[in-house]
Amino acid sequence: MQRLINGYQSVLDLLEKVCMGVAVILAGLLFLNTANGIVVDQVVGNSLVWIEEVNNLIFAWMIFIGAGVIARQGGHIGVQLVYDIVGPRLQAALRILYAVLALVIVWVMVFYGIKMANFVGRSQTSLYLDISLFYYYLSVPVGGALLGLFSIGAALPDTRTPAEAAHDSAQTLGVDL
Amino acid sequence: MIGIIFGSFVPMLLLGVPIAFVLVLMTIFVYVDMGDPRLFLQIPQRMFTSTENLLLLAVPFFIMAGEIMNRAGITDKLMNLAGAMVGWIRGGLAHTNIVASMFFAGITGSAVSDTVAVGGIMIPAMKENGYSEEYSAAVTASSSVIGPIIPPSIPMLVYASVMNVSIAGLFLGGLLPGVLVALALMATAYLIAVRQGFGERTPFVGFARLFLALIHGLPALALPALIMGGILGGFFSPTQASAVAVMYGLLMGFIFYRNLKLSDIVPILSHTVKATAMIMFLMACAKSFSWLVSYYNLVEHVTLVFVSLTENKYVFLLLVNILFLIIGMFLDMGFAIIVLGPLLAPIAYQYGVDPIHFGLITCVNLTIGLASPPFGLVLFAACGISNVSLARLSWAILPFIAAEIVVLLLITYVPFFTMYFPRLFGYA
Repeated sequence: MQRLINGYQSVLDLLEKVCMGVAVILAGLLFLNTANGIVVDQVVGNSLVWIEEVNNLIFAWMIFIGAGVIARQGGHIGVQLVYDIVGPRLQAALRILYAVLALVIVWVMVFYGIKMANFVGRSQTSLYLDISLFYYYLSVPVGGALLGLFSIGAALPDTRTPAEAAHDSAQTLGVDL
Repeated sequence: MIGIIFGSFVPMLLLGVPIAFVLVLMTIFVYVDMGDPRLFLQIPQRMFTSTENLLLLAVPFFIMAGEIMNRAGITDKLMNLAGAMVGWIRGGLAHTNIVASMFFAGITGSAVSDTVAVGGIMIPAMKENGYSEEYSAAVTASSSVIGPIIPPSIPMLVYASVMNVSIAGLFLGGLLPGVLVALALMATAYLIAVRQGFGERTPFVGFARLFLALIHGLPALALPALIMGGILGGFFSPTQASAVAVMYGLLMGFIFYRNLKLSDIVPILSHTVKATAMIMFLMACAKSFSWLVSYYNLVEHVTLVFVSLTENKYVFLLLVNILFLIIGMFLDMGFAIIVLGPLLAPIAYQYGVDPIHFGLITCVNLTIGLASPPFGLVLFAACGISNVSLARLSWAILPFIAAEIVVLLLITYVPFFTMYFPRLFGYA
């Protein structure tokens, strides 16, 4: 069982690196796209109409991927009043509770998120670039799935030695995040 | 239904369930109770539409700009300038800390960044010069709240997008309260320094050194002027101004200060993603919760509670301030703005309070909560960099929090301080 949990944590290390890598690239693209719009606007005097559509797509994916990833390190803030005063056993129980409640949200985000994406994707596209809104709305179920995986990771004990964990991390993308 | 909302809200919050999760879970519980599965489609739909607000695109860019300037090493330059300006007053390093925080406020808009950047240098320097550790940490933590008051300000961006209030008006309105908070903190720091014998008076460095420090610090100080000037002059929208702030930061970091390296880019973007995801996911979850607020007419219920307590505008504002101060001690300000803002602002408007004025009361009040014992976020950050226990810091910071509350009451009851600049530029 312990090996299974450690294996899961190692897989999450890899997934965390990949997802953060993607989110970082999206953040960079978000800036470059906006900067492009400003420069063209100031130089030519005409704004590029498609900038907002692309920004919206990038922004949504960056947020939902990021929201999934930060769940593993407790990135979503809560009132830590009770958590900080109870012992390690109760803390572990609370972490399991957080994960279970997160999975309820994940169910709605993934199951109904896919339904919603399919529904809007059937007939609606963006105004200028004709991108199917399916790709916009898909960010919600994907983010939800990541939230579930990383919330489970946060609840499970990580019994790997720091050296093992570092080794697993080093085996991944090699991006210094 | 109301029972489900409040019956699940408080226990989950106390158990430490992330606030964003609590908001969605309450919505899910109510939908389950209503028994119509089609309602669940609203949750992903509302979550997604929260990301379509273009104004909120400024959130990642202001976070990015602050992180760029931080890594470009502007903290030293701003502290040199602050030291040259006010270091000669009794308790000079405390004043330097406060003024540096005020300058830093124009760059980051985040109290925690300010605590770490300024406190990381100032707390050890103050200790070396005979100031007590808890006094140094208290000055750092209390002055860092100026960050979200002086523009640019992330909480104001969130407030403006949730409440549909002019962001330029809010930014302009934050200028005087930010300076007032700094002056109140300096007065408090001075009195404590005199009473406890901290920081002997040192001679003024002279105008030549002050001018030199000003030249070095000017490019960093120009950032808020660029943002406000660009917006007010009609050159950029607030979102574009935030991206211009990033461009300016890159220019300063790579070319002017030459402290920024290409290897800094990934950590800057990584920090931006994490901070933005936290704020925006909370917004997305609150968007799904907002359906409940309108469906159950929660605004009307809250209005009735307040009207039953008082019909006097000034008493209402006092009650709101007390409520926000208590909530700010325990809860994240994002939650308070997103959930309580739409409940309380309409009542304030009925009492004749200007939307910009009420927005600033809310933001300044909740910002003070960031440094209020026992759970203020910046208290934990200050403890982390100073090795002072939370209990000792909580005592030491009380006089500074009291000074900030005096300023809060001043801006609440004298609208001149918040409305002067917005009126001057035609935003109110």
